[in-house]
Amino acid sequence: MGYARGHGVEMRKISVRHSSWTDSGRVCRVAALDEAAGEWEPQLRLLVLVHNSDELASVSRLHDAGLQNIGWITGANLMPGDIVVLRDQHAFVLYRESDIHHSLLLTNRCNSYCLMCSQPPTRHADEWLVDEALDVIHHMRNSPAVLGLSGGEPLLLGARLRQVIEAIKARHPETRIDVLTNARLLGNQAVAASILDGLNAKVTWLVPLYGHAEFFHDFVVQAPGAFEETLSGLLALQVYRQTVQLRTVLIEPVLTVLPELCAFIGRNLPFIREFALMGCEPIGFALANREHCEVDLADWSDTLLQAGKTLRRHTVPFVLMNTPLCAIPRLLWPDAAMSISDWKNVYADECSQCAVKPDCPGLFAWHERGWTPSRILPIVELAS
Amino acid sequence: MSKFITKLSLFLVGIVPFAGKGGATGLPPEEAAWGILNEPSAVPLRPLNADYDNLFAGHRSHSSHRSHSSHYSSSSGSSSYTPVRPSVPSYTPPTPSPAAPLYVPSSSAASGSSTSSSSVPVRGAAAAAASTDVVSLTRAEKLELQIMRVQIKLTSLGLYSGAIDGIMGKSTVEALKLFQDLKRFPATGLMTTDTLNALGVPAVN
Repeated sequence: MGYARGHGVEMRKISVRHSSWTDSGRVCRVAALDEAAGEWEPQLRLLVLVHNSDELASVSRLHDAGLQNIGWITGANLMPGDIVVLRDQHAFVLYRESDIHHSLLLTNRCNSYCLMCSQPPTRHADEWLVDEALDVIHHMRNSPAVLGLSGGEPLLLGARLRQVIEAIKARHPETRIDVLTNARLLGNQAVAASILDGLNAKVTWLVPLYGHAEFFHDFVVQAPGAFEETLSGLLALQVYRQTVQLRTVLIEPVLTVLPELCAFIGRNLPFIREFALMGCEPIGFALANREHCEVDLADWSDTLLQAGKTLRRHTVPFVLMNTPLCAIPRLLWPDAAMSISDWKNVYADECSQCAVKPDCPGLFAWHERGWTPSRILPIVELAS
Repeated sequence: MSKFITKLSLFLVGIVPFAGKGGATGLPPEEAAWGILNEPSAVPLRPLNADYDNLFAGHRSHSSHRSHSSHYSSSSGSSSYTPVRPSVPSYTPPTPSPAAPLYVPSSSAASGSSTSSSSVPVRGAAAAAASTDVVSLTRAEKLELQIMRVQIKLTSLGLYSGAIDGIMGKSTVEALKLFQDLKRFPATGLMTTDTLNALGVPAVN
């Protein structure tokens, strides 16, 4: 059993000591000592954060008094409300309330094999990830505004994906759910019905599209037939009146056909809520496929401008993500979104003199290992 | 705006001597409200539990159930103790421009609305309902949970050394009385709202 980061999932690993009677591998909620009594519920597992031997003894007394589902834990950088799983004297933090973006990894398996995959898929059976995600959902003590469901390809779970969505809806009715999926399996009516029939949770489906014709898309996702399947999936989502955000990643094979892709979306997929154009994360397969994935966006500014123009003409709402402002034409700055993840808003040394840094989405935390989306050019003066 | 605030504060400064004459108790509600605005430290305190939160304030012991009938409040089936404190939204997707295409074929619209209105549980949903433990507790279960939380707290405080079993037994009552005594509350041995608040235990309702 291993832990990886999913698309948009980052895992903290913290060295800890914990009560001997606490099971390894079970999801637990970290609680402050004075809040433990109020948080205790029979079906939760609580780990009380202790700082000294007195506190430790007081938790031990609770265990001796007959409470099986309460233990103690000690370690730096743990916070009350953290949802952790223990393994080999380490706590893996699966959920932290103070994070800006929350996500659950549902599977590592995938039916695509994208050129720039940030998290290469595995073939292992990993149903336990779903059980763990359900456990996390039950242990969350407050409801995040948005909870991402990520993979791998979550649709490979079939009805169990529905189970996860229903669990979130039951326990956290206010939470909006973002499902990162290639939607290919939704082209199958039976699968679509099992997941979408009667679904009234607040779900947004985040579906990538990398070209306006099968050759382009299938090449990027390295799966023959994927384009047709994704399109039928998108149409199934529309039939079920679901909210869809289309996304694409700005790598060379996509940029080559980007204006055509935008026109295709405007003509054929007008029901989407928005189209997100995202800079490529220099990690995972993207590092292996550098010749396709490493682009200097400054060289493509005409393409980006044309894409923006086409999308506006078709009144498709769009947003640019994961690119610093200096990499994209100034006309598109209003369409750039600040990044939503905690590890995306980092900046290079050059950025310290930049006039628009406060509005800039910045770079991925791991850009130093890979490449930047463009030459980083501090914007010194703002022409009005 | 700032001009307005300056004027407003000048106005309030003018009011204060007036208010002083009348005495704090005799203030009309509007002026009392202004007084609170004027006083930055006067944050209205909200207790952890209000009286109406506490279903079991009169619960004596496990054997006596007479108090249950008198205190049966209108805790409907909607009460599940799912904590819902939505955190601050961090990313707001851009709102679609007003001219966004809204092509909705009539056939799919009809089928869409019919599927969403029918509450026939599909297989996945049924399985989900079976495994998710968002349950509305029965009154007895709520009482047991509240007693257990109180026992946990009393154990942590070193006032109780019995079993944490959710039963309001003799030793639990004694521990409660001890705690109430320490807090100078009437030593009733009941889980009164004041006692729960002093313990920091949220009422189960």
